[in-house]
Amino acid sequence: MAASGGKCALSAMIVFAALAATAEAKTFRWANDGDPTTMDPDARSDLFVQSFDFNMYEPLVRRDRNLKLEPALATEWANVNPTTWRFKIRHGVTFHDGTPLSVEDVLFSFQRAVAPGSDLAAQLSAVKEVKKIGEDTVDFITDGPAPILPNYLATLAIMSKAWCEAHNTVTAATLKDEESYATRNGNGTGPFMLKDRQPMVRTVLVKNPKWWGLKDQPIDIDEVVFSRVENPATRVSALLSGDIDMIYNVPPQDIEHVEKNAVVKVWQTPELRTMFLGMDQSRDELLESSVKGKNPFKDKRVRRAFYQAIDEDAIASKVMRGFAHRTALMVGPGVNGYDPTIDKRFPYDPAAAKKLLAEAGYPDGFQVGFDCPNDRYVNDEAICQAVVAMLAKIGVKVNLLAQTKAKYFTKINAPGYQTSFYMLGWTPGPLDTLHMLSNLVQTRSADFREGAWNEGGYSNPAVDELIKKISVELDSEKRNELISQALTIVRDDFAYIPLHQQIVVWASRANVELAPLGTNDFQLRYVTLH
Amino acid sequence: MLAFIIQRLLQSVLVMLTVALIAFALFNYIGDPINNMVGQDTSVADRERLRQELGLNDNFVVQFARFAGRAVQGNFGLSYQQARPVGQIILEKMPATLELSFMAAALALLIGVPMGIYTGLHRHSWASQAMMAVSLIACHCRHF
Repeated sequence: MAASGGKCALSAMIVFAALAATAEAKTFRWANDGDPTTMDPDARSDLFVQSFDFNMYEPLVRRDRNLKLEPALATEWANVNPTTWRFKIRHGVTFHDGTPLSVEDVLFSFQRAVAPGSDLAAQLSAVKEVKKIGEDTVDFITDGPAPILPNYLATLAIMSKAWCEAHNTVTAATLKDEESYATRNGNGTGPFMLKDRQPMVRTVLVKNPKWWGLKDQPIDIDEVVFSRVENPATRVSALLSGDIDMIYNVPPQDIEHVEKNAVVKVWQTPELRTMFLGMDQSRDELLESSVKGKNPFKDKRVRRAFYQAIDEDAIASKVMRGFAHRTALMVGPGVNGYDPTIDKRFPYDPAAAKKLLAEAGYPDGFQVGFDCPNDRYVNDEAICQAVVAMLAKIGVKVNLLAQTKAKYFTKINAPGYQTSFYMLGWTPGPLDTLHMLSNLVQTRSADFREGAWNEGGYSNPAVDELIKKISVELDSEKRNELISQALTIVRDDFAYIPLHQQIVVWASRANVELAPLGTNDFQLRYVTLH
Repeated sequence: MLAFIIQRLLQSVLVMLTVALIAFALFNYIGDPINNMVGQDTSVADRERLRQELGLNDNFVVQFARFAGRAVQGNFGLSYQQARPVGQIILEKMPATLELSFMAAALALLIGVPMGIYTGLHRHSWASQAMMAVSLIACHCRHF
């Protein structure tokens, strides 16, 4: 009798526990060293800020787990003629405040994103006009054919016209004297809604129970608490102790330590950012070099010598501790146009490099300045130091200037391009090779519209011609063929010295499932907690 | 006494101005803030426009005068990072700061001063030794 009473109590407890578990809201807690500084999706085209805000706001088209474009607020899209992209807007979508989504909101959101205050204008510069065609149809009309416009629209958040007007935020916050309402408040259509926002400290989101996507993709978590934890060691120990469920960007020196712990999982994905070295090939005399009266980098043999003197295997395995994908191309896997058949690096060969230098007239090498950031990329300064040591072996004395990104970018960027030799990383925002080509490879134009980040001033008319064709070719097969041609020329010209794509490393508790993306974009809709 | 107070007040103004000047000068040495504010696709023309709008092209004296002039009126401008008024951010953090500093002052006055007087009067008593030991340990605690 006593035993069965005990059993009864036990089973009652189990039932109770099960009930409690279903009723209990699932909270997902995560942390990063930086804060999503604004909730306004137009204010900053910063990867972390946009990634965070796009849990609340949605674009017309979005990226799936494999970074392929998929329908979001638009159900279908097509080129109705070479300069018009037509989008069908999804029915039955409401904003978090209950107002239904309409074509007017799409028109409004475009205007807001290209108005002063927005940091997205440059990405949408191909669009001449956005036109309402019907109650659920909208046309984006471009200056010329724009094959990758949908890629760019994946970062255009659709906001509510009525809400923005009611709160006096029809343009994004300009840094004038007043705070914009949208900086700390949000009203999107996305799977999560903003509940509490304490800048630089904590941001709480809750599941949107009326999200249109729920029927196909249930959201497992009810509440999300994001905390900013600046100190990397504190972040790691909070994860190990179970205070938080996930940390974004694990410091490389902690990966091994974290991996050994059974309560924790490490998520690795090759990132889409390519790290590379660039050389000033435009000036007649380098700004920072012992060689006077001529520019050694104008000679392809010198560029090749630099390339072959650098032991990327050692950088990848020693400096990056294996968390790097060595690359011969200026784009990596996951970017449209990446072609594995031409991703073949020239071998590391210091003897050949020394011979090339001698042939070019520098048997004893020369001196050159080298610009590097020390707070921008994973192990940036350490990579640069390795490069200095490797080039010393072929007689090149490299004077490294590693400094904070704000100073580094001011030095090497337009309009001055005050550099002779530098390291930079590039992620093609729209995930298409054209973005890299037009920024890094195309000949610089006087107004900096083309080749704005071509710090070394590489210029090749044959590649410029290809880039022009790529930017208007709507047939994707033909287009990718042209891209491969351009990438091959860039590789064989030694226009740059590509190093690697770094690997994104996130860590979570063992009971967390998520979708790690090479864009470093963390979408909460993929998170489940067991 | 009044003269002394006035003198001290004038001194404090001078100190504040110097600190403001140094802080402002430091800001000028950490590089161009525009690069941290915009994305990689922002055009050179847009960067230049933003720089002009924020008055970053003016010379140092003009920029400092504008900053100090607004600061004395309690207007610290907008945070580049958060796009919110800096004054508001300071006010939000104020209660915790005041709480900590008042508590610290209260502890120092109510416990520290009497302890100091006692140890001064009875230098060799065991209680004094204990107090010295405790305060030494407290002194060496990390400040967080």
